[in-house]
Amino acid sequence: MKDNLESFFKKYLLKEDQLIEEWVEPSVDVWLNASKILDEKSKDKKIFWLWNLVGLLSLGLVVLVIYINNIESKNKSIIDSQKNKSITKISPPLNKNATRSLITYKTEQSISNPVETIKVLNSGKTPNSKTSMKETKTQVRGIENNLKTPTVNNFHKSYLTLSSKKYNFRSYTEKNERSKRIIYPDVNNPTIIEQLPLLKMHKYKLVVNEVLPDPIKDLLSIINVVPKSKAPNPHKHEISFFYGPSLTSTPMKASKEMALNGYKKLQVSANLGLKYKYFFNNEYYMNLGMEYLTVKSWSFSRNEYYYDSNGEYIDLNGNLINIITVPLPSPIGEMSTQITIRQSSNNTIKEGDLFIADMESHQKYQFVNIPIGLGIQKIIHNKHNFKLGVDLNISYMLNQENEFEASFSYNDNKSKMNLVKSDIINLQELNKKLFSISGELGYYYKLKDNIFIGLSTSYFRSLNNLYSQENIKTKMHGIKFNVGFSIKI
Amino acid sequence: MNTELKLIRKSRLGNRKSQESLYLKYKTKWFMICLRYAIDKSQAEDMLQDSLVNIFSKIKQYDSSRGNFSQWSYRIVVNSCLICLRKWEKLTFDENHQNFNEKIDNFTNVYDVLGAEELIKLVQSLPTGYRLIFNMYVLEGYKHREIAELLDINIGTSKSQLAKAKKILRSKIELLFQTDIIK
Repeated sequence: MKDNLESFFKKYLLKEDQLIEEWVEPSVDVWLNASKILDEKSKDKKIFWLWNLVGLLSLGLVVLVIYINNIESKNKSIIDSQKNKSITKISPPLNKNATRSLITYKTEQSISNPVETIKVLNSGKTPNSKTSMKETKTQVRGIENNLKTPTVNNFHKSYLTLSSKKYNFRSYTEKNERSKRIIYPDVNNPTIIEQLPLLKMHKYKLVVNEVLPDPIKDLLSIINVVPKSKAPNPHKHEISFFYGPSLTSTPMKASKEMALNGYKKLQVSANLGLKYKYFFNNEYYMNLGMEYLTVKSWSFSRNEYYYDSNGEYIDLNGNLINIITVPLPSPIGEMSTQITIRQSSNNTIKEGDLFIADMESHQKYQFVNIPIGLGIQKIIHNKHNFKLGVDLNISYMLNQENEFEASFSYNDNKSKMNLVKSDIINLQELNKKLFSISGELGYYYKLKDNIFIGLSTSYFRSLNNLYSQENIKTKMHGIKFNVGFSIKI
Repeated sequence: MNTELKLIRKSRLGNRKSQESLYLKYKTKWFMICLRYAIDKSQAEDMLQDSLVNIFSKIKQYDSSRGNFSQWSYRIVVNSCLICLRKWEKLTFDENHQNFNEKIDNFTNVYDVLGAEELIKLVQSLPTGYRLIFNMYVLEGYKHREIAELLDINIGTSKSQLAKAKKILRSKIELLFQTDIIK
């Protein structure tokens, strides 16, 4: 049951007419600040959804590529099974003197102009011989009717690569030809040891006997041997899309008084980018890219300071309204900010009190980053592609925001005072242009003839300081992780 | 009412102008709640700011069929005030469940002398725990059970805090007006 006091307060404090009184009028800043926070939130939300959209699109693309790849493999296996039958039927007789050699079976595709100069690595007398390989020149004439000289133009992009240390042996698959097979020359029962589906690339060491069985000539007729560096490069251009998180650290070299009781910083970022690579040959490339980088950092520090003995910062209610210059460790450096400190009701601030201030600052940076660099790629079994590259990055800061929070303790009892939040109102000048160098190691898996998915990690180190003040060293360094896909053209 | 629903609909889509119109309509009521929970105007403004962010972030959750907007928004404001208080200071509640003998008092003339601003200041002068429970029980109409759940305390604690709050308020009013005004 409500007593009189309750009814009294309820009656008068919930009265409508008092609401027009001036003292119930909040400051104009309240709405301005709230709408600013709401704007930031909606911006963050948009960025969050954008990232998710990019992630989903990438995932969707990968799933689609895998799906298409599977369908193609299925179709191919049907075609292959049909071809297997014809292979057995039309397999030419093998030379019985031939020992275990790798040979290929030429499909029904007609080949004309049988003369072709090739180089073959000869393994010596027998395939089991340990003698070193020597290079010989052999002129091979096609034995079938209508043999055609293989030239790059005649052939489809896909090919079989047979490699030695020095040479790539390229066996081309002609246009419209679905697959090529390599069989062991077991006379009675030719066994398919490898099927090379269209648009796939494999590497082999070619081991042949000096005494070549007849079918090996077929193999040789379609082998064109070129030095690795002169090997045709079917994909000169590559475009990669990538995104991912990164962890960054900023080494602190602030003065002693700035980092009295330690300083900690955590910085995370996310990047979204596009890179174009131009391949000079199968190994070396140069690249140019564009990357959007958003960085969020949290800095924590603890400092001691006294209130000025003139006491002018304390108002009559014991609240402290202060314009304070706080020497913070980098990257904020020294700053001026207006801080309102509310003391807890049990404590009274006295002039000359020693204060401990735990300060936490948040920064947000947005950069657009342009990496320019060189790299080398190593392809293993035509499936696994490793890339190692070095980039020089030019970054331009698009936006920077700061927020500052402080928790104050004073005297030895370290009474906790209210947390205060305030925008930093005066910061040192930032360097808008940043230069950094980065090294990237990436692994890409070939999904389709020209589509790869990949993971890459890179280390970067900035070459100039984030802030222009000379005594604050803010050369960032960090690690980036990216996932993405690339398309070769 | 239709205008308000339109404003709410637009506010849900993030229309800042509509949100501002809603703010202008309710700002004094929302601020009054904050004033009761805060220790001063500045703290109340911080609470109001957080409340605004919460109201307009959660406005999509508001279901007009389940109540009017003002009631919904008052709840958000009260919750925001509680969150702010928790953030700013450690809330402590005296677990002493001593019962206070409450006199039936007559406050009829007090308002003529004091006014709402002074009454708010009296509420603001209460220790945080007392102030919270007094506001929630007397002015927001929460039951002790609900307060206990919201603040994670015993029902007994809520009751005793209320009694203590009322005792302090009564003594402060008595001090101001002497017994000849408040019998």
